Amino acid sequence: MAALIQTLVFGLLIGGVYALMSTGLTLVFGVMKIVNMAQGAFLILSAYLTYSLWTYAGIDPLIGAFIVAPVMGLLGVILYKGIIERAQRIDAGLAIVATFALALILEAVTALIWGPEPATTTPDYFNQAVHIGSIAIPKAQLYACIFAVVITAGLAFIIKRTWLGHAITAASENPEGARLIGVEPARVGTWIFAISIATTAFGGAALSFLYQFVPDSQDGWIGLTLSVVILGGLGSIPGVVAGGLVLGVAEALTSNYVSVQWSTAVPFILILVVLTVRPQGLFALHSREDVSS
Amino acid sequence: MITLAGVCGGYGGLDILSAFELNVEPGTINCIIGPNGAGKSTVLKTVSGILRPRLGSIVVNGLDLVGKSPAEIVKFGVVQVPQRHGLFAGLTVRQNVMMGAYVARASKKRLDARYDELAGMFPIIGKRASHRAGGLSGGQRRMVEFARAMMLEPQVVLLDEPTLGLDPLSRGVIYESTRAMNEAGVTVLMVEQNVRFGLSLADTVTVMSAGRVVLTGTASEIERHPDLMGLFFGLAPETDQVAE
Ligand SMILES: Nc1ncnc2c1ncn2[C@@H]1O[C@H](COP(=O)(O)OP(=O)(O)O)[C@@H](O)[C@H]1O
Ligand SMILES: [Mg+2]
Repeated sequence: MAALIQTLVFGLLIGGVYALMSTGLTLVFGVMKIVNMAQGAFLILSAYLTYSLWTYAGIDPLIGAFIVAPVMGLLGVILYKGIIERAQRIDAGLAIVATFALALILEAVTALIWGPEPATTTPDYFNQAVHIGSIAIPKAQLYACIFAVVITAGLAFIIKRTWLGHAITAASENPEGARLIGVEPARVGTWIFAISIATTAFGGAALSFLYQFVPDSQDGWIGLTLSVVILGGLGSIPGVVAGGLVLGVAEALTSNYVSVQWSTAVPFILILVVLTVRPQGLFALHSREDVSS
Repeated sequence: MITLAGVCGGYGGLDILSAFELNVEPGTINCIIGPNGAGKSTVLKTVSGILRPRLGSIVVNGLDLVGKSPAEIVKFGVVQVPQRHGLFAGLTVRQNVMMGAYVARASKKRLDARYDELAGMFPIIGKRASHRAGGLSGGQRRMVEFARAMMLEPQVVLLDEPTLGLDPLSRGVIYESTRAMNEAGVTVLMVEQNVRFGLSLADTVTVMSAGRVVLTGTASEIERHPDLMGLFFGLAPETDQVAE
């Protein structure tokens, strides 16, 4: 019993981190209908930046994330204005291809700067644990998960409670209706990209002390974050939380009770099952037809 | 108040409006009628800045709106209620109405006070404030759209077929609400398919066909005009079909 609880706790913690890593992806998709294939590359780039702050300035990854976030946000704006928006004006599909190209370029750039050696940050909590009874909670996972909850809640607050958030909802549901009240969907798109890419700073910071990474780790992470988003329902923030937790728990159960080798296959098996039963994912966005009057 | 002069424009390369002319006196209700596809919605979208005319001027209260962004036009006090899809289903009724003040983003206290004021005029936004807009009936949605348009105390409201798809009871409510907005000092420029309804509300009427004005006059002049019914069957006097 204790072993099961231990496994579930571990799965939930890591699931929270998966959700954090995937929020940017779901936000960009929900509002702009672009699958950002560079999400994994942004995560890895953020992880490397956190890593450099840690190795050269001794800055804790959880604090470093707040330095990396505005840098990533700015990079997001530049790439959106310079590449994505232009590609999207030509063809929506081209924008997705452009993000894929961007992933490859970012991977090459990180390889040039940081080299092929595996990197990881090792703040003193990375291998400690807190004990509750017989259950051990690894501090690294715990902190990363708390981080995930705070950042995701912050994003949910922005979406639900602020002018910007309501403008985002308006522009994504009904772009022409939004323009009529003075919300410019293009300007909202810039904000969305800035926010989404900035959130990879937090996911990347967690990644930096939970895992070892190399430049081409990005393709593994795009696979995982896409799985979370598809599981949860494309575009939905509660969806990534659900998708992340389901995936985290399923992986933990598999590696503990089946075998570690199988745990990497779990996301894909889960997706097959969910998409067969519920093609729209666990949480579907309400469709545009709802607004017709 | 509203003067459109020589407006040509449309979507992309093709002109829908050709030398369109319109004059609306302050504080009045003007109704544009005309067959489907005549370009009525196009006129409203051009005024609200969604479309940019190729030629011509659109002057409201001394300001030329051509080239201004939709946001600037809303800020200036010209607000459009579109023919369809005006609301955001994922937001509540209250949030939808508040979005009418997006371009101003005034203090919460002032907006709350304005909301309460509008709830007197459009009771639905008081009763259903926290409901999702997606769950409202057609007539209720119109009321929410009207309330949203009134949020910033506009000078001009543009209504695109406000009775489209509504039952007679809701049409009555639209009638009363449009009157109420007008009495609150708003100049109304509306488009109607339902000619009876349009004529009953309007002070002046503009009949358009194929992107041009074919007739303008007071509501009673238009009502008694012998060509009116002909126009509605697509037989505008200037077209060749009349020759036989
Ligand atoms: N988004 C659009 N793109 C291209 N053509 C359009 C668009 N909307 C309307 N049109 C065309 O413009 C003409 C006028 O349309 P509209 O102004 O909507 O007419 P009305 O409101 O009088 O029924 C029609 O021929 C229509 O096909
Ligand atoms: Mg129309």
